[in-house]
Amino acid sequence: MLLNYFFRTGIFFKIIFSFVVVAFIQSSAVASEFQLGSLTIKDPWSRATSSHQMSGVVYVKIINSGNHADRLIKVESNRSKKATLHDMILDGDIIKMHSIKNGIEIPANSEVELEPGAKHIMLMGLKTKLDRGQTVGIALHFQHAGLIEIKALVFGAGSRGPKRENIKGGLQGDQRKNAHRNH
Amino acid sequence: MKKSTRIGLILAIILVAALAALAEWLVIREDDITKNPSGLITSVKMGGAFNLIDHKGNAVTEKNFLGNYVLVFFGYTFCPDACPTALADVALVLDELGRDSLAVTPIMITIDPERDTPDVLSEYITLFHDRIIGLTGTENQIKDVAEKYRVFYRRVDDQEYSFYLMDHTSFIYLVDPKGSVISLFRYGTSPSEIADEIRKHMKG
Ligand SMILES: [Cu+2]
Repeated sequence: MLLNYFFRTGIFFKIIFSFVVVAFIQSSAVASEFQLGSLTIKDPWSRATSSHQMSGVVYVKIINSGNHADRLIKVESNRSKKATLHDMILDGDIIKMHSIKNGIEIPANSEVELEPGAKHIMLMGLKTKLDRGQTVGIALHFQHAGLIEIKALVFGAGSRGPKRENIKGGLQGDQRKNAHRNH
Repeated sequence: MKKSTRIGLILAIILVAALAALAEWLVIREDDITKNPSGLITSVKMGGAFNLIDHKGNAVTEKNFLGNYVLVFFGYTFCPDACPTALADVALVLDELGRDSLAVTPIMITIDPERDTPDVLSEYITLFHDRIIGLTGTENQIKDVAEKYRVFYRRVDDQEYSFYLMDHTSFIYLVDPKGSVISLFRYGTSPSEIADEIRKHMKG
């Protein structure tokens, strides 16, 4: 009779549904970490674009737990004609972006984060627009560890990334000051 | 020191530093500059009349925006890193101001009119906030408004591919309801600092 009540009210399906949702969220959280030898690629993410936008961006955190430095030398994407390693700098008060010539060093036992207002993967010549919730396939070529294919989750157009998705105010000032200090 | 006084002081310092930086690389006519007795630049006359096209394709001038505070930002839609961050900041300023945000009109003026047509701007700005207005124009119209706001911009071509990027200054300007620029915010100023500054002016 109790079972009958569950079915009738739809509670049963709601419970099943919530299990499915929880399982989905957990699987997507797990999927945002990629391992290549002693390199861990964590939380790659991107920003939604409009249909007219010709460029997109991907950010990622790279953790090197090994005792040897490596270097990110090349990037590719299935979503754009060209993908390049880029840097944003403030020259006085002028915003400039330029491509990074010799790749990005990932020192031994440390982490490097590509983030807004600093180093980023630039997608130039988007084939289709990037929608929130989609993933963007990216191939990262490391000098020593070799190639890994990862998927970056697309957040909103002005997002500050997975950690700051739900934070308004507060953090972003510090974040950008840090980015500035890197140069 | 009261928090608001401190913020005011910090903003004043930033403003002076920003104006000094502007003076370095832009030719500003002497009669545009107000100096204090010790020769420090305290304000630069900027802003003023413009003729542009909004994201709906309508011709607009500075007069369309009188009566409201205006937050002006110069950028371009091809830029996926810095410009979305600045626009998201502007959206956060509006959120932070709550009901008071109705007295503020946020405007993005493109420095890349070749690619940023009204249609392109229209779809782009709605990704950030439904009240942001996008402005574009002819090359000369943009050149004119950029000069009035002392905005530096320059096209940077990518030899390998057919894309180009733009270097551009990164200030957000606060314009009062009479059309005068009353504050400059540097890139990286937090939305709450900008909102505080706007509130300070609203209280008069
Ligand atoms: Cu870039």
